[in-house]
Amino acid sequence: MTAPLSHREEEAIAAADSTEVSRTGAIALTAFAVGLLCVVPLIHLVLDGASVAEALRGFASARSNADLKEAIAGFDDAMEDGSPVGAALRPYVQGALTRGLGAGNSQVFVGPDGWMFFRPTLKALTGPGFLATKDPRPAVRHFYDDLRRAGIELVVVPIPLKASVHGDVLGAPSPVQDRDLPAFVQWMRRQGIRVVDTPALVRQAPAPQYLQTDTHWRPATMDAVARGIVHELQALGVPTGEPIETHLEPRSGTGDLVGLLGVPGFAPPETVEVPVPARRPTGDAQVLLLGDSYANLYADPSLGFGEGSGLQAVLEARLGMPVDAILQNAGGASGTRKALADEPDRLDGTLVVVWELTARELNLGDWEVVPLALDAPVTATTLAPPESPRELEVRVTAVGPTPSVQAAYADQVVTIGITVDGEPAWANLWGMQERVVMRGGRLRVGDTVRVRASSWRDAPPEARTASRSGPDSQPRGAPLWWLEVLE
Amino acid sequence: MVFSSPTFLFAFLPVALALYLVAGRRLRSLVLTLVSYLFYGWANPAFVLLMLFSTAVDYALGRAMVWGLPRHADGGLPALDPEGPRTAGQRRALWASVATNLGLLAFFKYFDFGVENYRALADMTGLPGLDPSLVLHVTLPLGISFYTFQSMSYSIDVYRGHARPIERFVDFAAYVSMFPQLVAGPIIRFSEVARQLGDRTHTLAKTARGIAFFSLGMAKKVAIANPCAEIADAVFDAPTTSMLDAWWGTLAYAFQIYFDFSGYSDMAIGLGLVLGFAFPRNFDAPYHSASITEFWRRWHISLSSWLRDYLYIPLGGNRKGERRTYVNLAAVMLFGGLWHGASWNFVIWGAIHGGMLGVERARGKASAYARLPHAIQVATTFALVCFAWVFFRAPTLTAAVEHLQTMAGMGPGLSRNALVTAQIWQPWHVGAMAVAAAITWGSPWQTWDFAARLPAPRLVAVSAALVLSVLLLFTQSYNPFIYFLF
Repeated sequence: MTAPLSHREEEAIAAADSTEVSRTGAIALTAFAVGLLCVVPLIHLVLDGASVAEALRGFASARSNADLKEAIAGFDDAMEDGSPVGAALRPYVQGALTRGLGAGNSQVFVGPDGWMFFRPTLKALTGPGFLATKDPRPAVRHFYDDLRRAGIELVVVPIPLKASVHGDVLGAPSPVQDRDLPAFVQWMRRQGIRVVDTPALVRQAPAPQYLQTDTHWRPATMDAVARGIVHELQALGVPTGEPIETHLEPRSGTGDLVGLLGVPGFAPPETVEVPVPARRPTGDAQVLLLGDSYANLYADPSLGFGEGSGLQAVLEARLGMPVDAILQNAGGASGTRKALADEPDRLDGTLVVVWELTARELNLGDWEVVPLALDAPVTATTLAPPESPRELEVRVTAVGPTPSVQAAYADQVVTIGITVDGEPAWANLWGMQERVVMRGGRLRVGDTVRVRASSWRDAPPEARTASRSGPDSQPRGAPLWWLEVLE
Repeated sequence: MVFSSPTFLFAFLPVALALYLVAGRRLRSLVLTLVSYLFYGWANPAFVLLMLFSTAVDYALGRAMVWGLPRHADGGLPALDPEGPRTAGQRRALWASVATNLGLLAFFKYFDFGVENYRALADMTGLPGLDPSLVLHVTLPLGISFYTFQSMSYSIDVYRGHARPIERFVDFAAYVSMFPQLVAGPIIRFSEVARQLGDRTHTLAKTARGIAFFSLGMAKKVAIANPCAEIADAVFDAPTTSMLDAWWGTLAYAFQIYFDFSGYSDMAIGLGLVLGFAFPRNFDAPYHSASITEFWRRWHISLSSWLRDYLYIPLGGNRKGERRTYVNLAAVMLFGGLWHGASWNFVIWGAIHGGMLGVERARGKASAYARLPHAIQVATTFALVCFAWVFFRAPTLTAAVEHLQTMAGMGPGLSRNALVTAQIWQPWHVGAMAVAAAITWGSPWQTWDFAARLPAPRLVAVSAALVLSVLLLFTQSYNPFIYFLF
């Protein structure tokens, strides 16, 4: 068919043809390799064929290159995260690698003496700095301007990274300063934004300030920051009441980093004493707290350390006044601002917005500018949710990314676009619970599902504080539904 | 799609191999093409059209070169006489192929780089600036550097009379798109697989050799390159590190790129064998080299020999005098650097290698260096290669210079450096580096030689490598190969 063989081709063919292997050996190796490559997917199909079929369904409904890419990503996730063989083996392999060789994984760094760190934050601390990579300043400035126009003050509470406070555990001779945090704080103060000096408050709190196997703070550190916020609010002239007594309750929990490592029992549960207020103050709140998982810890049981406390409750106790709150795990950068933009009436009567966010969000978050549109309320063009729960059929018109079981938080709410009797609406529903992707997280555009529908305001508290994702096309201010899938 | 991913291993590969084996002899190229397009489209389905366009153009131009010539005695298309004259039409067909392939490469890979540099030049010299809206943010199609070179080699081989044009489009499409080496090489020249495209054999021994290559290659990637990558990433992503960490990170990158790329090549060669193809070797113990000249005979052989045969020799090679030889060397290495990516770092990396090749050529074999003990020559060559890797890996030119300053003991000592140190000296990392060093300098075998004989103990070792890789794969997140970027 062609000209003579090239020298390199000749060498390659000669080497292939002269391979010394017995017939039995070659058959055995081939059978072993083929068996291994086939048995893993076969087990997957037998035990969880539905998830593979679900992933393949994405290809059938794809109408564009973007849809195809999304279907591909969904299939990859199903193969990687959904493999029963992988799920069964992972804890053992990961456990052996981590116990024997200190390997950790892409999410978790295992340090000495049982200390664990969220690996991306170590990279953030040693990397080029968030002002060069994420630059939250335009989003913060926009938010501040929107609030000021409504006569509302903004107090920012940036929580330092665990590794910056406990760098000594990793051999750092002194506290490790987050590269850009001081410059960012100075910039906010120059704009007129009030900033609580949390790095100082955290340093002064009893050591250790953070949990060993969790990314978050210990209760005493939370309390110290709550007192710092109260101080700032008093300086702003916010009315305060008689502080409410708290008593300490022991709580045991397994850190979120153990969950992210994927090795159950890798570290024993940690026990802490949590301040629990004797009662909740009554009256109208003049302070609105926006917060992420730091604010949710000790209040949201899904985070592993029980409920009844948390930053909102402790702040109320120290302030002696009620505090309204929009809390969302992993929502420090944009999530809570988006939630506020969806429910702008939460600002009615508010004097001050306290915005707690972890420095992790500064380094890793998605800093969208989110207009609040307070002076020109959005006229809803989408269907309002029913006033009382009812069962109906909805058609899916827009979805966001499929939740990842490797996400920082085990629970996730997804926002989707729907039509109800041809009328467009937007709805939230569970996308993932306890790292299991739910039906809501696997919905595709064009799907029709039977649901129990109500208002997002009536959704369970654990859903309202869970991390959230959705499509970029979601309009702000649209009335949100809450859906429970019935099939 | 990444070889070391569950989707490839547990979905694509079993299905693709089953379809390939079930298909009859005549349909195998078609099946191979279809599954290869699926493989390629997995990264971005739209880019399948681009590859199809490039394939169709080169196929048509190859046919055009022999248009009107009598068929070969065997009934196939004729080859051009290697020594004979070429018609204007044949020359036009060749240039059309070269222009199309280099045009695609230039647009997708270098457009933004060109605009960026012109702007910088205009700012400095007062030249007329460009419209600020002229930013396309072109997405680099996966593997375009590899398949355009492959596709171009076909036209050049046909033009030179080194190969006969291919009769069936599907055979040519299979050659260009062949999934084992499509996105990260080795670059398989048409003349190297031309015969096998139409006539290849499938034997048990070949399959066993292929599985051995694939398993060892995957273990190289998953068990060695990936932990080394964690070290290199932590060091090179940090603006400041300690001196020791800077050296450790550089060494880690040297191991990472070798085990990553040679692992990929092994997997590609292995998959090729299972499909009946014998691809030439791409690595031959490069860190055993005693000179940079030798390094380039052992490292990414498919690229260095491509550049030699399709660029260096056509430029005149060493046949046009001493000065021209140096110019040709420099040009080839600069082009080779730029081939890796649109960045001045790659150009400098190429220039360093070109410069060292020139120095070695000028120094000759009678130099004092040539009289040094072999081990010292190997160590010196490795150190020089590592020095050049700093430019290859660092995110910017400034970062590369700062990294080298830190290696020279002139970096700032900051407390955050301890956080880098903590991350890169875990037993897992030290162990991987030790294994990498032991294999690099202590092992008597390369994969090529190891797989030549497969007695029972080696079969067990190969099976163990495959199992280990699969186990590790379940604990690692997405980890693309370095050469996917090029």
